[in-house]
Amino acid sequence: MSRHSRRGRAAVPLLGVLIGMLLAALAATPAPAQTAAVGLYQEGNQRYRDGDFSGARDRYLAAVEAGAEDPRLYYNLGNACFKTERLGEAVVWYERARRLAPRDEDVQANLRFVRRVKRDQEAGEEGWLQRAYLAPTLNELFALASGSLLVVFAAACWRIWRRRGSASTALLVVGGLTFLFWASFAAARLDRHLTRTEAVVTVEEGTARSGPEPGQTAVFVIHEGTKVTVERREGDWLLVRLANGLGGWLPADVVTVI
Amino acid sequence: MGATVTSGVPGVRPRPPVPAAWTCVVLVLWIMGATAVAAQPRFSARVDRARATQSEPIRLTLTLAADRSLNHVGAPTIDLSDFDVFGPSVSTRMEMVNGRTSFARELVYTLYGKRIGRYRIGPASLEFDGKVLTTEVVEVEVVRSRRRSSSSSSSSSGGSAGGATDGQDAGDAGGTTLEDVLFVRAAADRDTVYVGQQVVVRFDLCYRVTLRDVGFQEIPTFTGFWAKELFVAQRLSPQRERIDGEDFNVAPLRRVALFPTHAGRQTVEPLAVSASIPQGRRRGSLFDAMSLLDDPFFGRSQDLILRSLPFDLEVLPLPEAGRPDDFGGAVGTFALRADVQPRQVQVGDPVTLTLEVEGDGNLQTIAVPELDLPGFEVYDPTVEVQDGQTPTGGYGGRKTMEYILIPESAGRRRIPPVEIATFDPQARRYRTLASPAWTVDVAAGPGTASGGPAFDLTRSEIEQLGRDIRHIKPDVEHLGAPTPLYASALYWLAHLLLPVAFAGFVAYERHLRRLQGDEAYARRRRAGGEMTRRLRAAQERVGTGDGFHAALQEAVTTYIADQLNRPPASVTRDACRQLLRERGAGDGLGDEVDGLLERLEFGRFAPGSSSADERRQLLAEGEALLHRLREALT
Repeated sequence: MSRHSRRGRAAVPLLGVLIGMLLAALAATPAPAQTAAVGLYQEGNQRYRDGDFSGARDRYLAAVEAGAEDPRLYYNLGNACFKTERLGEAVVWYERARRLAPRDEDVQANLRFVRRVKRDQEAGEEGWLQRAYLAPTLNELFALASGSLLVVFAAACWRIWRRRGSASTALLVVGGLTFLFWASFAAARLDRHLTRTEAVVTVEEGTARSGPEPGQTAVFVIHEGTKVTVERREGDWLLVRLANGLGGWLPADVVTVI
Repeated sequence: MGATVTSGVPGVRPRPPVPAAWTCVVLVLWIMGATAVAAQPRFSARVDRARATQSEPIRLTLTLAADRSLNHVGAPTIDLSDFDVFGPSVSTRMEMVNGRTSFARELVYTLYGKRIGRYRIGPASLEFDGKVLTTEVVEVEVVRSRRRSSSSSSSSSGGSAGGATDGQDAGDAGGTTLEDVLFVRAAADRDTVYVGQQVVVRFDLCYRVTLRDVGFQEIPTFTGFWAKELFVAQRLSPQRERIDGEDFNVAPLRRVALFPTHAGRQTVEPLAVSASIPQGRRRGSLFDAMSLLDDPFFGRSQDLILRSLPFDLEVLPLPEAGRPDDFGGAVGTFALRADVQPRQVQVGDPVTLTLEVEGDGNLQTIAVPELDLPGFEVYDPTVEVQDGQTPTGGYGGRKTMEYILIPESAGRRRIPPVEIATFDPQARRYRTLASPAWTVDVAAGPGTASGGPAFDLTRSEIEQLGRDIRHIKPDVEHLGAPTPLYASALYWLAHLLLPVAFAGFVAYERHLRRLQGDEAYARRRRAGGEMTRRLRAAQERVGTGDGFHAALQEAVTTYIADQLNRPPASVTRDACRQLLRERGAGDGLGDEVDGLLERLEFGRFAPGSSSADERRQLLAEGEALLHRLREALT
């Protein structure tokens, strides 16, 4: 028996174990099928089709209460809110759906539509860089980082196995750079996900003040559907910042955190 | 009254200023001791003839006489709008009779009647010495000149008229009037036309005298016609022609193509030409003495205005019967040539449809057909008109219309005949010019969907009626988003295992490399496996006893040889004890090995001396011993 085939036979299961473990981790461990939530979702859909948008909204909300977390559910809930003239709430649910499914055409279209009908003009559309930055989900980014790390180890093994070889070295370098890219991308997005709090105005109108007191100077008036970034919380007041940089304190019940 | 200048030919006016003539006037008046001048200023008017044709000059003289200088007198006011006016030429004179000085100032106007009729000239008024002086009214009559027949003219087939002076004016040329030697002839090629039909009117100058300075005085406006000039003379190019038995020089002046714009009697206005006739010397006249002055530069001449006679055309309306709906007013003789190129194209490539209408008539009235071709995008045509005089002497030419057609889909496309409606005045009926039909093969171009039947794609822009959010997502079997990886323990565990697995790989690789390079290591690694194989062989022989002892003995000695990297043949009973002692395995183990090997040797050399149970016992002991050896040696 030749040396290479004998050694190869040993290497294959080893790599198999590695890949299998990662795949097992990546494979979405689906939340236990929540029959109750699915039932409520279907019921909401039926009511929506029948034109009972308020009833549909109740069913969808009940499904969310039951613990279901699904972009389709959020999207449909956003639709039901919009149809019952809850503009801000619709934006909240669309935004939540977009976090889970950032490239969903329907979600994006409806968000654009709602932005067009709401009262406040937001500072410009997102640029292509911003859209590209938000396009992959966190899971996709982590999977890409892990995949490139796997490539790095595989290239290292190959390099050791063959003792020498420029191809394996090149693969090692490229894999390393790719891993660095995806890892930093994932880290940046994770940081944003964990630290950045966004909220949407869900009442018709709110007045932002210069401090967390009703007696403070009014800084600006904000209307339903406008998205803000929450920077700080103090009691029942939130320090929010608009996309154009304007900041002010809003009562917490004016906005809903996404 | 003394005439200032006389002339042998009627209708002459002096060409001012000729100083010699005025010198003579003063002389003559002096000798005649003429007019007594009244103390009161007088202002008078007179004409040299009371009756004239349009071509004959009427000389109007206004005279102001007074007993003091007239140098600072303004111009008189007089209405001469019914005449073409030349002048006035102004002269003043002074007389001394019996110690009394009188002054006179004369203004001479040369008038040509514009129209036939009786006219009153004046009164003329003038302000002098703070008073307004007026003249008496003078009556003149402008008469129609004797109509000159042009029936002998071969070129004239329709209405024609000549104009000249009439013969009633007493000339001194032996009964010859000016009209007999000089006139403008207007002639049309037909006298009855349809609306829009071409009629060519020509104006010729017919003359038998020497002419100078011929120029256009008045061009007719051709009211009621759309006119196109075909020819305008820059100089006289006469040809000999016999008119009423007399040879004339006939020079074409103008040729105009007229297209009547509405029905009824339409009048072609006269054309007026100015000319001058050089004056010959007159024997015995006063001027013979001054013949030095009678050269072309100083020469005297007679200025004239000649008018053609107006004439009428009968304009018929176009017949209502049989008028095509798309008739655009094109009257004439036209031919249509049409072509489509190329006839094999790809979708989106242009096809050119060319229509060429050629013939006699007003090309502007040929309507540009609107093409409605399903399957093609039709662009507005480029229209080019090349017009001018046709070989038949009329107005016509060619109108080219070029359409660009863009095929919109693949398939065989038929272009139906293109039609242009015209009226043929010769045949007195409507005619429709039609092109042939064409077939264009349109192949699917790159980027277009090919194949399939050719549909009639008449499309319109889709209009958005309203906007709304998109519809909800459909029903699902399961709900739930994937667990975030960053929150999954298994995910991070897998990453911890990565370096572990890598370390394992490195160790394994080292092991394989050592197996290759280190014989003792390789034998030691193999020893266990070999031992098991040999024990299995011995076990198979337990029943028969045939070769059992040898197999078990080999299992033990080979294992020790492998573990200690010795040749198997060198491992005897004695050597075993020695080797085990060297490895510090203790004497007890050596004795046991020695004892077992001794019993095995005995069994080997005394076959049949042992029962199966004894052999099984021996095998068990061997296995136990080997187990203890493995513990001692590894």
